[in-house]
This record gives sequence, C-alpha cells and structure tokens, in this order.
Amino acid sequence: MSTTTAARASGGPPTEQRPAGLALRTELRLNAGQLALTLMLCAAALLWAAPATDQYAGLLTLWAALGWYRYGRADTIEREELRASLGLSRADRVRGRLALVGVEHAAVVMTVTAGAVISVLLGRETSGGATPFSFTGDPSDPQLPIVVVGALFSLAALVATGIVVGGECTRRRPGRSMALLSILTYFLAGVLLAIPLALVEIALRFDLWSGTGGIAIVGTVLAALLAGLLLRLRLSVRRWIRGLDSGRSETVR
Amino acid sequence: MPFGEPLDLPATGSAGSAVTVRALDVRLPDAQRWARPLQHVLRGVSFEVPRGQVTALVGTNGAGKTTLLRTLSGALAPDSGMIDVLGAPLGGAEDALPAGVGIVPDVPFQPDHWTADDMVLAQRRVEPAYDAHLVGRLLRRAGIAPGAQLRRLSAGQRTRLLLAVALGIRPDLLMLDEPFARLDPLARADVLDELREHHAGGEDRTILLSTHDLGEIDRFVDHVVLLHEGRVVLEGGSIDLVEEHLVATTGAPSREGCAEVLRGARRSGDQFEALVRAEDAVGLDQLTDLRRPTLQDILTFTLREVSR
Repeated sequence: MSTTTAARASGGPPTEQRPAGLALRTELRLNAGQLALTLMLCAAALLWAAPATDQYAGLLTLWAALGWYRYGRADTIEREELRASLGLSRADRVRGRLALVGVEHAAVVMTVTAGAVISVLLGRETSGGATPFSFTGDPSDPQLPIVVVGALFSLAALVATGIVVGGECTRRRPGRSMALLSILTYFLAGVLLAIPLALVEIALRFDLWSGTGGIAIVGTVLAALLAGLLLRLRLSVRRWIRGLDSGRSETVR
Repeated sequence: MPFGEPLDLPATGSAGSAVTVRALDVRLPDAQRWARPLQHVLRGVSFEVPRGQVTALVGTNGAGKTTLLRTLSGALAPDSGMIDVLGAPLGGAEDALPAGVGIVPDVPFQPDHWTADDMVLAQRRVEPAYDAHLVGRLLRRAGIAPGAQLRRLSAGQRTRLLLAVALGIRPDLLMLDEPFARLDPLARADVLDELREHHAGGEDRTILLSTHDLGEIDRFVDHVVLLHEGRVVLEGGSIDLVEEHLVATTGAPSREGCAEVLRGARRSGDQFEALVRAEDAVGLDQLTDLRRPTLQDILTFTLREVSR
C-alpha cells in the first residue's frame, strides 16, 4: 500500500514510483473471465494428456497467440476510465497488458510442458511443444530434454507474435483482422524458427558436431533465439508507449 | 468574456485553478462509419476551473462534454494542448491522475457485476485516506446494500453509488458527467444535497460537473463553461455573467438596427427578446422591457446565437 500511496501523490509522479503490480492486478480483475477460460482449457488439455495424448495440448499455444487480440478486443473506453480513476496512465495499461499476456503465455507453456512430461512418464512419445511445429527429435534420445526444447519453441513463437501484433492490440481496440494476423504471424514465426533447427538437424545428420548432444545444441540455439526475441519485445513495448503520445488512436467504443 | 473569443491563459496551471486547460484538441475515430475517419471532437478548448468552486460544463448533446471529462481524467489522449489537474500535467502517455480526484461517470465504467464493496476495495488500494465509513453512511442513506451488483440497481441508485464511492476519496476535485441526467426529482434533490454537503466540507473542494441543462442547479454553480460543437463559447463566474447581461424585449424594427448587440434573439409575436450586455442596453430603440436573466437564460441565448 505504501508504494501505491507514492503512486497517487499529487504533482504527476514519475513512472518508476508507480507500482507495476497495480497495473497487472487491474488487468487481472478486468479480464478475469478471459483468463479463467484459458485456465479451464489448460486443465482440459492436461486431463486429456493423461489417458490419451499431449498432441492437443499444443493447440493451446495457438489460443495463447490470440491473447493480444482477445484482451485488446475486450477493451472499452469505460475500462480506460476505470484505469484512469485508479491513477494508472495509458503507458501503465500497456505494461499491465504485457504482464497479463505474459502470465497467460506462461500458464499455457507450462501446461503444454506438463502435458508432454505426463506423456513421457506414461511411456508415450511426446509431441514436444507447439502444434503444428512439434519437435519430436530422435525417439531413441531421452524424451525430457525434447520437452524443454518444445517449451522454448512455443515461447519463442508466442513472443514473436507479440512483437508483431502487440503494438496494434494495445494502442487501439483491434479489429478482427488482428486475429487473422496473429494466427498468420504465429505460423510464420514457427516456420522461421524451424529453419535454424532444421539446419542443426542436418548438421547432426552429417555428424558435424561429433560427440555433442544434438538436443543440447538445438536447445541452445532456441534459447539464444528466445533471448533475442525477448529483447526485441522489450524495445517494442517502449516504442508502443512512445506511440501513445501521438494521440487519436486510443481505445474507443 | 465575449462570445467565442479565445481565452488568454497562462502557459501553465495557475495557483487559483484546480484544472487548467489550454488549446486542447481531441480527435477520435468516428465509430458510426466503416472507415472510422477521425472526427474533431474538441477544438482549441481553453478554460479554467477555479479552486474551491463549483463549475458547470454546459452544452447540448454532442457538444463534447463527455470527451472533455474523459480527457481530463487521462482516459483519452489529446492531440495537442495543455492540461493541468491539481498541479499535475495530464495528457502524456505516462501522465496519471493525481490523488484526490473523484470521478462520477455518466455510464458506470466499473464492470456491471461489481458490487459497492468491490468498488470500495478498488479505491482503497490506491487512495490511502479512503473513507469507507463515509461511503457506508451514504449507501445506507440511499438504501443500497453493499453487496448489490451494479447491474441490479436503478439509474438513480447507480448514480448515488458512484457518487458515494467517489466521495469516499474525500476528493479535492470531484468530476461528474451528467449526474442529474437520469434522476427523478427526488433523487436529483438527494444527489444535490450530497454534493452541497461535500462542497461545504472544505474550502478547497472543487466540483466540475457536466450537464446539458442547468435547471434548478444554477444557484449551486459558481462558474460556467459553455461548450458548443467542441469549442468553449462562453466562460465566466455565474454572478458576473448574470450581472453583466440583461434580457431585452424590443420592437421588431429596432432589432434590425441593433443586431450586433442583440444575442440569440427570438421572436415573440411582434416583439423580439434577446440577450444584451448591460452597457449596451442603454441605447436600444423601441425597448419595451428589460429584465435580469437567469443563468439558464444566458446559456440558452448564447447557444441560439452561436448555432446560427
């Protein structure tokens, strides 16, 4: 509460004093229904993974890729007024939305990973991540590292989607074309991310890195790509917030 | 202030003002049209809300009152101009409403499944001095259960709930959008009483309310800003405006000769009734009657004049 008090001091508080948690809490409250639906889908995917397959758990990442669109679409001027009345700026809204989507993505990726782990523990092959860009690796390899690679792949595809559609979906209420763009971007990101992985697999086939674990190399490449994408997302968020100052693009009915 | 003339305001908010707005422009997408072209909703709006006074933002439907209040709360971004609310700049992406500002919207901005308790909880988290006891007292007076959902309340109860939640802040500045629009006479009187009580509770308590009809609240209002098609066309203290103007009734011919001093003239049989500045009333031809206008008269004649 004390940090919040500082946030509401008169005289235009600097951003650093504003509690980041307040923006996320407000987003969570306003979008509780959407988030609850996602969590229910996650629970259903996990329940399905135990007796059958984790193949469909990967479809959740496609749902998550639509997160920027779904939350942006639910925005109204009344919500904007509510945020303003709680002392949140328009930049806080963008940061809060980023955090909310991050929470949802984390929940989805953890579900996908848990589904894959369940499959492995039950002795089945795992689809290992973001459907349809599953990475099954060599079936003779240990399956759990494949699960980790799948999780990295899912996250990277989601972050790439956010970089492309996040700005439009946070600065104004997105039209339905943004849903289509989100899906296309997600698939395109999957294809582009698959290229370096395919190259690594080819290199492994020709035994270029003899003695090195193939899955470890793939994981390292993906981790590096994900780090780069996260950095790019951070820069994009700054650009989106700067773009708010240009006006006339705000959330309206 | 002469009709439609721009105000000469300082570059930053003045000490005597709770709100200072200068050269404010807001454009919004037109939701009615497919291509959503930008619509100029506020054009070079400048005015001040004196600290400790009740200011009425008056205008016809579509004048831009709600857009202006939303911009003053930080919910909408201005295209250009300067806004100062209780000493804090507003309008930039990082600018947030300072503490001590209560907002009562025309349409509740809280989700309609929220209860009074939910609203109090949300405000308490951000307003350290939030007075939940006062809110409870006001809700009891209005007969609203703390657990009642917003969607189950009547329009009058909603307004009283939103007002109670805003008053819990003990706001230095209370902004209300059309607070009387949906109220029956009894509820209107109750809301007015609560506003009077709040205003009397401290010298610096400022109220800014929008309305399209001053009606019976004109005696409650100290300062008036008249908005028409996104522009401020009249601003001034209520007493000053009433003292500076007269309603003149003249014969038809003199109206032609004195058109430039007669504002918003309307025909009544073979007579014309119009608003004049007190000093211009002396030389009017065929003057049959002069009377002191009400604040509502001044606004009506001014709107008629600027609508031509």
